[in-house]
Amino acid sequence: MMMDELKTLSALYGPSGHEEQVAEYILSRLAEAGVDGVQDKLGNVLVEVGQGGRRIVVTGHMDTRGLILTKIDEKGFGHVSSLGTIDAAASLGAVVMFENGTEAVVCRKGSTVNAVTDLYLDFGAEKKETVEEKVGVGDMAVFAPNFRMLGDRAVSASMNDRAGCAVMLEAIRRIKNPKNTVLFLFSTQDISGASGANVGIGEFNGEIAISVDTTPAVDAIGAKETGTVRLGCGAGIRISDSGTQCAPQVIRMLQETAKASDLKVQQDVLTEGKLEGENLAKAGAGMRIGGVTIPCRYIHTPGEMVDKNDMEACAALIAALAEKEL
Amino acid sequence: MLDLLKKLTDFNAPAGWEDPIREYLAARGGELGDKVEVDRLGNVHVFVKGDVSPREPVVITASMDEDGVMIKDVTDEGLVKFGMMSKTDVRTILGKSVLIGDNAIRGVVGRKPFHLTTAEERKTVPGAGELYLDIGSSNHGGTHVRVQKGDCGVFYGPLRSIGPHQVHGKALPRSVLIWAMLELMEQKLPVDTWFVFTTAGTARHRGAYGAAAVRKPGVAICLDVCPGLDSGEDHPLVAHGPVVAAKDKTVVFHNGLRKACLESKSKLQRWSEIPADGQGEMFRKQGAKVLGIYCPVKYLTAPCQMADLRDVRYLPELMLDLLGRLEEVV
Repeated sequence: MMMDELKTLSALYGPSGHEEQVAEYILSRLAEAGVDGVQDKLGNVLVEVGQGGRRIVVTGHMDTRGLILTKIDEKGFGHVSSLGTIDAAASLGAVVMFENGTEAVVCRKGSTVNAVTDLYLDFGAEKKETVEEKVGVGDMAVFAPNFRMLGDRAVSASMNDRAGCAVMLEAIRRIKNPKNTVLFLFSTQDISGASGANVGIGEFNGEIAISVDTTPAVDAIGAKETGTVRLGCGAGIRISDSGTQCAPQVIRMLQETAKASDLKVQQDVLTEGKLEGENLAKAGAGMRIGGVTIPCRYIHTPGEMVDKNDMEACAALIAALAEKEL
Repeated sequence: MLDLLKKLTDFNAPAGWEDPIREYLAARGGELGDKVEVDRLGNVHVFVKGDVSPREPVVITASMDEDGVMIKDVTDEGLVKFGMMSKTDVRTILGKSVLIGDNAIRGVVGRKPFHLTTAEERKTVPGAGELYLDIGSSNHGGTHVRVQKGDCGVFYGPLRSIGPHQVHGKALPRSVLIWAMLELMEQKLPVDTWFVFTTAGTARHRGAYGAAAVRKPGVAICLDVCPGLDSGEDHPLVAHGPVVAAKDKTVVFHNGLRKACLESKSKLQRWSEIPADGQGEMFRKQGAKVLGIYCPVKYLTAPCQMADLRDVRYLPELMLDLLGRLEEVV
């Protein structure tokens, strides 16, 4: 079920600030699971599970990276900048889609690609006016749906962080006897930096915040050694990243929970990149920060790869934490 | 229009020293609005009753301060060392006049005379640390009684017309936006609206933190300026109307608000990203749906800027149109 949800989630249009389709789908899945989800005025989806015990926020973001149309030239080519970090060279040849379904292929302006501004979009149109009938400057595109299962591994655009959303949905379904009060927060605008999660937490007064997000796996050929996790080696427990030193108490709590539930986990130390933790640490009266991460190869490309078993371990770990007396 | 723009330009109000313009806006807000509040950070909030009362407050906001300099030291020769309080381009300030402190002491930005500079020095642009203000005094004591460490100054630049449509002067970012807000306050509004004039806009919008927390609006329309050019494609153009962007450096603007704005018949320019911070981040953190609307202004980082009056006139028209569509989109 989780991978079916991931397939659907990864295909939904939802660049930062435009998460409506994703929120609608998540709410529908929650309703099918008999769980009441609510949406706040910024579009964050919130689900509270359990009563008493520790007050824990589990958050993953619904938005994805994308391209912003900056100009349509006379020949009908679209010039772009990026919304969030994108691997420009790896985007070459990918198909992107706009909110209204308009598609275009990513091409390069010259022989090399060093930045997103070296790319352009070909709409298959012969002139500017034809394109302007469909899209305009400022409109945003995401990589078009391309989900595939390769054995136990799923590859698609937008795994970051639709994989986190799928894990959270699965965790909610698995929780049967919660011993803690857990606020699941599917947040908006993480990538643009404005962090809807801060608003979503609202009056919850959480003690602990756990981000659920993808993290770069370092086991691909030539992958930069900026992290420690490997695909298929279990759920990542974030120790630190460039924005946050996770709270030792939370790290220990997650490690002990994983051990008690016999779950496969790995330590996640990331030197480039960060979770929502940096913002969450300052929300309300402040929270202790942790992270449950999903190893992901080829992150920020149209073909991000995650492992089904890692995702299962992440969902099981979060559910076990909710059911553990802490 | 020019009279009010001139009045707004003439106030000397660097970040944190906005008292004169704050008093004016509070008084004028009292005449045009139904309620005026000044919060603890000095932001002025003016409530104007409209035809409909929304469930959550609607805010239109802009900053009221301007670029300035901070006095750091007085040399034995009576020259005044200073630092920049905002992002003014140091390359543009040599020889410009500055008004310092409450008494508006006049000084001129100076540097070692050109004929005394070395060949190497001529190749580089001096930093603020190499410049000084000359207030016409030849010793430390003479300067010290008039100017002291911690005093603030603003650039001198009274408003004047250039050609049939453009104006030139200091503090234009503040003046054109506040003019548009005051103009809108005189209209019959379709919805209750809070007009919020914030402090410290040039200091990373510090005042907006407090203003956003006080109002907690459902919708925040953040007015700002952006670099404008006469021609080209890399920046919005002056005389082509206000700019409606998809995002700024930190916030993706609300899609519904943006679309409603783009449907307006008022003249505007559609743009992708304004690469600067704005007040939107602070209002969004309070849960507001945010849209940024920009007035293109030339020479933004110089002591005096230039704006086209047609762009400025379109601002209240565009905002009024948007206020009328709010019910459809939020």
